Amino acid sequence: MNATAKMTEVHSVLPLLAVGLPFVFAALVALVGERAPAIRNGLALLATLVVFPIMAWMLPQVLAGHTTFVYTINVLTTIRLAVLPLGVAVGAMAALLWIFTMVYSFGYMEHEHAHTRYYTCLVAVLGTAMGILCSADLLTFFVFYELLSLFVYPLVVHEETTAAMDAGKTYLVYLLCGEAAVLAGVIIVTGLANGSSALVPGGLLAGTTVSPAKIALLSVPFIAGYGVKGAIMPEHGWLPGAMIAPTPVSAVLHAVAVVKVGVYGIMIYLYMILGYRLATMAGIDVVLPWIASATIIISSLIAIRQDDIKRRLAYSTIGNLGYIVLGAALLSPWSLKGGVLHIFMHSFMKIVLFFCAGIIITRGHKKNFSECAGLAKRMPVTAACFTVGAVGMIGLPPVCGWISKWVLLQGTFASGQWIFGLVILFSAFLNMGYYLPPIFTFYFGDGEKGANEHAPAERQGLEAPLTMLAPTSIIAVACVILGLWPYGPYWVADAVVRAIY
Amino acid sequence: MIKYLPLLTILIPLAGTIVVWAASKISDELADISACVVTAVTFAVTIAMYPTVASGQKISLSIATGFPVPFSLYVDGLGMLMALIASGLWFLSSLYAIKYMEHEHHRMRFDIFSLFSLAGMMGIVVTGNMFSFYIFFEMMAILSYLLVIHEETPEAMRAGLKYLFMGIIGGLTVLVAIVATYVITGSVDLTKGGLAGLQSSPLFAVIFWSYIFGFAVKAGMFPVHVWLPDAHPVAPSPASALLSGVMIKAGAYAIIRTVYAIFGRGLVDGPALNQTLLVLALITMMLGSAVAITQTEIKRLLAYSSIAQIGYVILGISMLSPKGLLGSLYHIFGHAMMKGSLFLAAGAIIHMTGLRQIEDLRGIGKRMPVTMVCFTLAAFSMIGFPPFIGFLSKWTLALGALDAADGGIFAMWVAITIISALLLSSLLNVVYYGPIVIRAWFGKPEGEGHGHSPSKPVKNDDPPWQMMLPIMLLATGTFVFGLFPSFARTLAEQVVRMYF
Repeated sequence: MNATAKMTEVHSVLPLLAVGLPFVFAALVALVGERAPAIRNGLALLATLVVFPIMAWMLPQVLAGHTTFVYTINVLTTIRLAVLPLGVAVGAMAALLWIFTMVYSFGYMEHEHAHTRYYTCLVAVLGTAMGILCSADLLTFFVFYELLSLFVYPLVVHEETTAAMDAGKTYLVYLLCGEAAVLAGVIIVTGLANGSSALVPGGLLAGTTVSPAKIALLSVPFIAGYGVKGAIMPEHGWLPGAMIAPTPVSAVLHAVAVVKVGVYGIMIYLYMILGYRLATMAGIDVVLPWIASATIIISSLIAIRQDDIKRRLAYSTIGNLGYIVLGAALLSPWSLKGGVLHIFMHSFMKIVLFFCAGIIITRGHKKNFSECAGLAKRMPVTAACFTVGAVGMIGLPPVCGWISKWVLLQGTFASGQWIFGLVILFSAFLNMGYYLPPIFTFYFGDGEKGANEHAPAERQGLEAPLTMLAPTSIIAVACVILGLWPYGPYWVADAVVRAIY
Repeated sequence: MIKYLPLLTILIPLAGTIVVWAASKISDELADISACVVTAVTFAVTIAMYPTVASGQKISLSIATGFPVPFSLYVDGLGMLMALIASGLWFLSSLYAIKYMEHEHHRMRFDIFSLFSLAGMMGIVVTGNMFSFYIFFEMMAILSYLLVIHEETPEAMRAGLKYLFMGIIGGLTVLVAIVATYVITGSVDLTKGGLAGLQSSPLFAVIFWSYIFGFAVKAGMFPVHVWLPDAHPVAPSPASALLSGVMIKAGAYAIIRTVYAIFGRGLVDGPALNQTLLVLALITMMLGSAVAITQTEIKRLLAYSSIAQIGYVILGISMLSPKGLLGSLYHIFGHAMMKGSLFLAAGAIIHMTGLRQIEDLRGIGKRMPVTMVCFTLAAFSMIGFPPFIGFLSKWTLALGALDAADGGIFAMWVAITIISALLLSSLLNVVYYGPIVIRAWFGKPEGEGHGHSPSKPVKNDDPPWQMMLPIMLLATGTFVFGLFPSFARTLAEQVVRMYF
């Protein structure tokens, strides 16, 4: 494990395309607007279909061929794009899931308002996410990080109800404060590293002689800042509220892109700015794992008490982000690998759960788990997909969650921190406590209570249209396949760790 | 070619679920029949592996998964014995289910999840490392839930909940132990007599008990047996037979692998490990029998008896002597037939007459002579009369205890205690099986009164052949294999040679 495996830099337009094209498409989507909804939707889908192949094409070359694709733009400040190991992996996954989300949105948004704004923002957010994941230094990272928050805001307040506006306000306050903290950190790093804030596999500051105390101090704004998006407790307050957004947004942003970008920020800070040696000296692995563990346990305890479908999923997301941060914070190759792997596995499973939640909410008109008795009879596919996701979240084979839990456990044991293995085990018990009861309700609940039992219009056609059902079930099947044959994600996680540890 | 057979034993039941689903579109009966055919094919494939394994070879196949640990299939004597028991009993129980489930709801669901559970069970015993094992272990633990709650009565749902939650908690604990083993030894293979490096870990006792905890839940060992007496009786009888006859043996099988293949018997030898396990096994044995005496419902009684019997099996494992292990393996094999037969016979009684209370079984032997002959034979074997297989296993276990005392595993007084416990437990078996048998043959049905009225010819209530045949085959097996343990001995002795 050394980070000196030299990366070859290749100047290429590809990162620019991955980041820039979504913005171009977003503009087109906005231009076409309500005049031709079909073309507008097609353009939105096309954007995702273009970005994913670019990321997927670069992925093996970055990971196996040790090539970095670099592109530099000089505007105001220098925007440097570079496709680095961890970023390309998370980026490719996010772009892939974006395709599914876009298709799902077509079905979900049918009866909603403000389509053009919705699609424009969703495509633009893809661009900002790619920008974050393809940035070569902290400053570029920061620019896109800020943009991401802004483009997500219209999506959060989409419904424009009072509750949505309030949630939006909370969202902005939390995220902007977090970003201010990050900016402070970026400035200090730039000072320490003589004007550079580049992300270097192995650590930008690794060679410097900064005292551990200073590093520890520097880590506070970074961890606290990125921790807002990564929903580390007690900075998670915005996430359950932001669930008021349309479900596809919750799925792709608050299970995949936004929150994962937060933990991605923590990872690059620890491994590409500090490097694990410096991080160890600063005592990150003494403090941060405990914060992550507290997040894992407390969020699970709260999740058990949530009846609202999306809120329970939100707290589960907070707990799972805790796993990822725990993996990163233990500063050992295996734990990092577990964390990276959990980014993938959790995204796949959680997006299935959110898609199911969306179907239940729009089609079944149910907001809470307790109202879903006997749902499986009316929505067999949705219930089955939810079951797959839920079983996976507990960490049971053959759904993919158990693979990342295995590696995370391995990481805690290998670094001698047995106690965190117990945290993961205990948390799995808690997961069982809030993921199994809904399944019982779906399958064995006492049928539909209330009047709509006899309303024929309510009873038929409850299962969602194909645009929603297909993405959900395809990813659910993928979850099972990955649980038995984790070839791709494992290889990627392994290569990432080799490159940046 | 032969190396793909273990994979087939898993894939056939899995693919069979699709066949059953398609068949159920035509009729439920056809679904049941096709499920039975699928289990028959699985059994046949399992038998096809026997000559190779019996000749001392091992069948192994490794499939890369992209994970550091490959997916590994491996059949040795132990796996072969378990696979034969599992697929054989599954086939008989599926045949039985065709008629038994006739008037039940959700027959397709029952068939499909029975096949899923079979795939899980086969996977458990034909996998060669804990990574692959765990997939199937959880698969069986979760999917067999649908068998337990089949009736969907509040009672069944409660029992099912306990079954599922305890199973998953046990399973997750095992996962932690597996990963810990992997980190310490760099291997989770089940193909050796102990993984190097475990002894150097200060936590190896913790890891050992994490394994045992998870597997003991599955096996129904004291003190984590509490789900068993609820879950086994509420399931439909063919499923009860499988739960008691086969699925709890998955736990016992896993304990054998933990003790002999992961830790190795040298490392397990000591007060904190095998001797504690031995005490727990003795408690399980006595407790199961003692509580069985107080039962008034036949299937609940059989369930408590299963707890007692799993106590025998774990007792033999924890003796760490060749004969002890041999006795355990005999008992796994024998108990599958005895308890399979008993549960199916009890199911036949329930199906034909609706009687569940032991109290009401007076004179049942006259109404269902063949069924009750089989029940009686199996009960005799349970008590341990020679030449039944129940005697063979208890006898071997007793010899094993003496061996272990000679070998210095424990003191002679322990061996004597064990032997006394075996005898006492046999007597307890008499106490609870005896009354059923005696009532069946010598009592008069409730309605007939006590006078010597000229008795009407009693209607024969023996079930149809699909149900009768499995019961008869299993009951016959208990003494045929008691006299000629043949293939079970070949395989069991191979296991003993491998680990000693």
